[in-house]
Amino acid sequence: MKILTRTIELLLLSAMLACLLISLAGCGSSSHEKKVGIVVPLENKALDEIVAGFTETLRKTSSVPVKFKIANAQGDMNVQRAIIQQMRDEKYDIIAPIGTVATQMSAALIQQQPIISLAANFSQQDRLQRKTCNIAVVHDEISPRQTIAFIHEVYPQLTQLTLVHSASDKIFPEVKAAVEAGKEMGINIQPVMVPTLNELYSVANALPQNTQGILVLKDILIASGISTLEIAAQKHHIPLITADQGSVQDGAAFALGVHEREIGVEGAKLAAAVLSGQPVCSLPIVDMKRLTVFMNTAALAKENQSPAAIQAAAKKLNYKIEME
Amino acid sequence: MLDLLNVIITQSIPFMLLAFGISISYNVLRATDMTIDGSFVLGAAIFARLVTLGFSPPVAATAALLGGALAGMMVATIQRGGRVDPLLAGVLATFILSSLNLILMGKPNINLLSQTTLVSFAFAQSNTMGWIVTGLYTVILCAIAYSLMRSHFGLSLRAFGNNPALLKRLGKNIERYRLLGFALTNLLAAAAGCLTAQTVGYADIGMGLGMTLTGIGAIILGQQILRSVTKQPHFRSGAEFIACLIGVILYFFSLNALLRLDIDPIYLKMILGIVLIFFLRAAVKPTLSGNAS
Repeated sequence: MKILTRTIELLLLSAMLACLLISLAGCGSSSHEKKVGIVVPLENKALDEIVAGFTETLRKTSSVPVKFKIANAQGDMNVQRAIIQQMRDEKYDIIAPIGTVATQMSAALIQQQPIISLAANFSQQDRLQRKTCNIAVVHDEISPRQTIAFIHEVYPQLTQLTLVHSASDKIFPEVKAAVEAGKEMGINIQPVMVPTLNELYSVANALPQNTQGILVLKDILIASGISTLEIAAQKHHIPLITADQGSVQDGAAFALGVHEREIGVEGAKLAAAVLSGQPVCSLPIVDMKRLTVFMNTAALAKENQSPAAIQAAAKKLNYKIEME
Repeated sequence: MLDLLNVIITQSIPFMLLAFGISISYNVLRATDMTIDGSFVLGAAIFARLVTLGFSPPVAATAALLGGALAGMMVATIQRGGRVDPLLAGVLATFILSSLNLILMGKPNINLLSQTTLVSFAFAQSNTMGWIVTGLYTVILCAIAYSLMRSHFGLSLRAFGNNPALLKRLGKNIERYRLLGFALTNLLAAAAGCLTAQTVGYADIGMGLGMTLTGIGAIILGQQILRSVTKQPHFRSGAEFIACLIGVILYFFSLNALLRLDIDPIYLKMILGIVLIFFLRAAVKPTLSGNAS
């Protein structure tokens, strides 16, 4: 019996080892290939779009062959640090962190290699204060004022809006700016913070009675639970307005935002310039300017909202419209 | 190889304080203190906020450590009289700290890249010098905590964890030991958070996620391996500290070695678990067999 138990244990452990070996992905690289490492902080559809835009564009535009390593830290700080240090030690030609935290960590740990930061809050001042200026940045923020102005154009009678946001690093100043812009346009914006996704359901079911719409800014955590808010919007027959394409694909009524892929595309242009020999610090900090209105007609119908007003406002403000 | 060694050491240095704090709560106080996740962020939050407000780094660091100690006292107060289970008290304290940390920081992320910190002058000279200074802070704090564990106070803390009734019969105030014990563990966690923020360049509201579980995993691993070598059924302060060190180094060795084998990080935690099972299976001889248990 003892031998049998031991044999089963050995078999199980051998199976686990086999799994481990299968997972090993050995890959060599030729000497003329440039190595580009992309640090993805966690699993997210929008981040995947950024990565796709970055890799596809850089492959096409780079003057030298490029080999990519895409490493997802799965939301773990220790793993993220290990990934960045590994890319640094293996002398990657470019390291591209996505998001503010990954950018800050890369900036703290990497002094020599060029960093192309995607979708991060990292200002020109931050860049110049560094000992070595080795960062180029693509910002992904859309001015909350523009979002509120668009909403005001679509719904001129709207006076009460609930803004659901997470405790994410970059969202707080945007919430403040949105509230101020709302005041100027006669819209009372009530912010509601949701620290963890588990609490979103409770918030969605306790919306203020007088709210005439739900607003979500570009917020990865809230976007992950957008269907919960869409159910609430349908129940109250109010629009769910967001600021990214992914959440409209997942059920929100409409959004004024940018193609996530475009952030990657802009980052790839910076990376291509670096690979062709341009100093990283001479590259500009890129802002996303081309805004698109994403519409989900099925969600609009369930919320009892008319697409005509959105289309008219988009036309007036000169935004491109895309149906999801 | 040298790069790998360098990375393991640099990742282990700030984490060692956290692991030692967890080790004290787990081995000495006999409690799984989940507050550590929150105290880790609290240390980083207080330091980052005070430094950006213009306070000197030593003042900010002292406040961060005191903040951690206060968080520990809060969790001890929740448990007072043994009315609330330590695990539950830790979870409740973490709830409170998640809001408190956000209030203290004023925003979810504070950038420290351009701030003067306790280690910035050393990192400005060279990375090696930076890590030597960071390591020095860790060694000093660990040495103080270790000395406390070896003292009469440490022995009383151990008695509190093993047999609080006996401590009470000896005329000692057990609530005092509860307060001081949890204050010490959370002070070490806050110190780890404070040092981590300075080395990674930011304090972030989400930076403590999963730290307690990683720490517990590392110290259990270290203990199992050390126990198989020393054959000692019980641990004392020195062995506990060494077990902690072995566990932390082994954890970061496994993590970095797997990444350098080009394993997709999506599978990392699963494979890391399997590799650590192998380590344990290889290191520990079976103590139970069949139905004899």
